[in-house]
Amino acid sequence: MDAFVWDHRYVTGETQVDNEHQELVRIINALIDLESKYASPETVTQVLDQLVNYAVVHFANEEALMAENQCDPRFVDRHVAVHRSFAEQVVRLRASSVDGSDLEYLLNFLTSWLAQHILGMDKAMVRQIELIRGGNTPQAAYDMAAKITTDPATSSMLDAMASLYRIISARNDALTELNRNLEAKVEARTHELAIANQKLATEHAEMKSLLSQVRLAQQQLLQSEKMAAIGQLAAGVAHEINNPIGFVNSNLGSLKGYTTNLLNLITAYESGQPEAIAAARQAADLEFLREDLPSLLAESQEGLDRVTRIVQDLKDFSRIDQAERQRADLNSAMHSTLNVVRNELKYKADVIVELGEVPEVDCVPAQLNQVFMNLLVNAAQAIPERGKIFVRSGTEGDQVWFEIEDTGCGMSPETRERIFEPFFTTKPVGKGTGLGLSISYDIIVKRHHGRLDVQSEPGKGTTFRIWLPIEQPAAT
Amino acid sequence: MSRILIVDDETSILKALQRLLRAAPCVYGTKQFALEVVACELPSEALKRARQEEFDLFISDYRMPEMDGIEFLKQARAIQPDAARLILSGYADLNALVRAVNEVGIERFVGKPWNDYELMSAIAQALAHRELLLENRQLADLVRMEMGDKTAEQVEAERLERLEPGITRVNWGPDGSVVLDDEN
Repeated sequence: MDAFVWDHRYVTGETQVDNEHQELVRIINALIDLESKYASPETVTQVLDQLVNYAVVHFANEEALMAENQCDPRFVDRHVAVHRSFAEQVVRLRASSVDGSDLEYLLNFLTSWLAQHILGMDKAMVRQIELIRGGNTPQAAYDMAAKITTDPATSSMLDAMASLYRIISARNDALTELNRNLEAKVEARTHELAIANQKLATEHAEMKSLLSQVRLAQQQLLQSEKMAAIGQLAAGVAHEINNPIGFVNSNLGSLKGYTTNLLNLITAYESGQPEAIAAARQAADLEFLREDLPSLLAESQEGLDRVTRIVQDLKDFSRIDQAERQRADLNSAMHSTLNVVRNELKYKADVIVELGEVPEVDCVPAQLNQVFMNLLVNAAQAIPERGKIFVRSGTEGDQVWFEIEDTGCGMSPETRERIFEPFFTTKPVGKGTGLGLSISYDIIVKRHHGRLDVQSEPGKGTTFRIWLPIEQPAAT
Repeated sequence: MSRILIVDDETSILKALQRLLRAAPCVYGTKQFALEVVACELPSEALKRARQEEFDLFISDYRMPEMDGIEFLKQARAIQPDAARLILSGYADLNALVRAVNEVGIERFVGKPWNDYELMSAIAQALAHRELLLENRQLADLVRMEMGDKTAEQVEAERLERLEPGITRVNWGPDGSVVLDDEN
């Protein structure tokens, strides 16, 4: 924008007033210069402050001059009001913003206002002062000054401009007010948004914790199903372990009696008395001992071997030390599961094992054992009196399969539809959790990317076939 | 001589029990019982023996092939109602226990592994209890005969009925014939 060019038209005739006007013009030109150079807002603000301060001093001087010459109050009041209004405008504009376009607008306003003010108001003031100094009363000077117009057109134009500036000032005020309102609104909205955001974050955290609670519950459910299955097993295993321990324990008691008798016999022999020897032999029943002792020891040994084996099978079954994914021989896993559940099966069914060649499979063996156990126990429970359970396995392409077939009661199509639903069970209350097959499905299909096929015919029996990929997909 | 029939599908259990019952004293109070043991692996075999010989006590496992211990004792009671009954088992759920007490009226339930001394006491107690019952009944019959409540024929018929349940009843066939053997 163009600089404010000072020329003789702005000269009022009062030296001090003119000097101060020139200083104001100088500061405004400095601002225009800064604006064209895109100076930093800090610098601009500094110079603006300088302008405002100087303007205030200048206005004070002008007002002092009017007071000194006792100008007409009507004029003084108007002049002072215009000064105040200007100062307010500048302060307000400066506060609103000093960046690019706003600054240019501000400078336009300053130059226009100053030009108009000097030509109108200030020149009128000096004219009145000159008239008062020439011996007129302030009132007469005011009236005369109003009449003295170098050019009526200029005078009415100045008046129009003055009223125009008033309007603009009012508009500016309104705009600034609007701006301030807008800012307050934006701030309020921002605040609301922040609160909403915070609420959302809280809700998100709550959801997260709920989700983790659900996960935990699910895990506990899995665990409890496992415990239920183990509890069921415990019955059979207890029977299987208590039997050998029962007879080994009792045999030891008998053995104690035998050794006492034998030691007594030795004592009798050492004494060398024939009657004592005969009595001791009678008591010991040596013939019977000769026959019974070896079998007592052999049976007890066998009993302890059985306990050892059951414990080993249980350990293999639970795979406490092998809960990770690994390559495992599933035929041997099936064998150890069969050993563990044998007691559940042996009074209900003949188990016919026909396992084929199966390579080692990438899997979590403990989980698959749980599936095998579920299917085997279900098969036994499906058999009302006595039947057969076939256990088969084989390989086809890049998959292995395990099949468990029973000659039990089978399922209706309606039951067949629902067997993988959690909590669905046809067993009496307390006999099944209704989770066995749904968990088996989860283990085979979701965790091992396999398949679980069912064929069933009411009255004939049911066949479950597990398909497992030999290699698991990489990203699991 | 008290005769005991033991049923368990586990041979080693039978052998261990035979050793125990052969050597250990079976005493209740001042009374000592001399024991004779018959061991069977299968319930069906045991029932066959029960039909032919008289026993004072049946001891049965609970989980066995063919039938469970309760079923076996039920049938054994039908054959010899006066024999005492006892279950020796490693595991039975509450349901089985209730049935054993309510349906079969067992004298004792002994768990496996058992304690030799406790088992012998249980056997002695069962035998003593049974003896007491029989003696009681005999004396009561005597009194009733003396008081004229029962005839000697009735008492004899009851004795025979106990010995061979059903013997005092005539089993008529549909054509009026008398069925002597009903394949039992």
